[in-house]
Amino acid sequence: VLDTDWFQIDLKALVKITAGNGFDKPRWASDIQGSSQASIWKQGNTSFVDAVVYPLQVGAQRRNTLAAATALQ
Amino acid sequence: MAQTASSIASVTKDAWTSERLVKQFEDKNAPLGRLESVKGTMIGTQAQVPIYNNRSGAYTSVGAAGGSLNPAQAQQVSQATYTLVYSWFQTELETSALAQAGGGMQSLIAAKDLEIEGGLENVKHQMTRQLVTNGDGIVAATGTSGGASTTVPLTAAASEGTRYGYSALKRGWLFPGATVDVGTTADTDALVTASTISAVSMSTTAPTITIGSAIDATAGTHFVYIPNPNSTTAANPELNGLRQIAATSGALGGLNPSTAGQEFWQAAVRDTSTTVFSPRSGAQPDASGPPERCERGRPRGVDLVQAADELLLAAAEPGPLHRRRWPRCRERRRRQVERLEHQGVRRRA
Repeated sequence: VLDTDWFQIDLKALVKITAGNGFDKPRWASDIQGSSQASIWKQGNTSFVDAVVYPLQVGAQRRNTLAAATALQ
Repeated sequence: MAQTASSIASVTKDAWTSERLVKQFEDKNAPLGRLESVKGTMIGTQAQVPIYNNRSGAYTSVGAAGGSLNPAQAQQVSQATYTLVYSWFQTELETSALAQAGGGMQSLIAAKDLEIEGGLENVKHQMTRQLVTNGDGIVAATGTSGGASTTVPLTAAASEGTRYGYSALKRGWLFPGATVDVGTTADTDALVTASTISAVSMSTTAPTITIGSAIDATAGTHFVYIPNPNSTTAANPELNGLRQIAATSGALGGLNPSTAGQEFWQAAVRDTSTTVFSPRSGAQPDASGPPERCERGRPRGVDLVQAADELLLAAAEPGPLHRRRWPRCRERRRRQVERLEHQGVRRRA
């Protein structure tokens, strides 16, 4: 949180949006592919590549129980 | 000629002070962690929040003689919608790193573990930045260069408020090696595209980043963004941030308090004064009544009170009414405060 900011948040007023099928946490591309390896050979190269993906969104289902100050000195 | 430590240096043994890498940054990403602890909603295309906006106004009161009634009205409902954001982070390992830096006798940490664990933390760090800011893709605001230069000024600490610059350096959102765009909100790479930061200055009064191209930035107009390989003008789509959610204006989830009938869709209070912190009377969220029950020693409705890197314990303290009617909460709260203080969390007066 920025030094200038202060939030008073009711977590029940927030919604966490995730994808199903095991995508509610970070997943590696190699895992999604099903190779069961920690990385994938990069064809035509001498290296191995991978990527982590984390689908997530946060929203509010009620805003008027939240408060903030964003210019504290 | 005598043997010396210098002349025998090529065969002397050196030792590491630790078998673990010593991180030079905070890696807990606490705000995101707090959100992750909440049960999520799985979606197909979008998440729809059913919202009960307002009451019906079909009320009439009459005397003993009876009379006519005002017409019936519908209870007012609407919906907010949210879509997912996919945060990606790529890693690449050369075969030699796997062969020659496998941990154990070869290296302090396996190159593979370093990249895997680092990648996970790094993506969460980016998401934490998004969560505590505005959801607009802005990583930092520039100052005014006063001419083309590779050294780009950022908003000084004392001028931070709506915009921030120094804090982006201090929190590790911008660092040497990071690649950035600099541009406007309409064209995020208007000044430079995918330029690598070679140095930063964490001065509170004159914070800067040094990039590969000379640009002429203007305060209030130009901002630093993560490069977006999928658009020549737009910022990367990011998570909605607390600055955006806990706001008294601005659209969120397709609803906007400036639209007639959607005035309810705003935070209880958003204080933007730069001089005096002014929590107004009645601005306390859930001010409609005393807390119904004690939750983890805090009044209901106050789940996350966070400023800078410390908890504002005083702000989370139950009020007089709460203390009188819920003595167990006070006792739980006292134990919680003691535990946090024992863990080194400072208490503000």
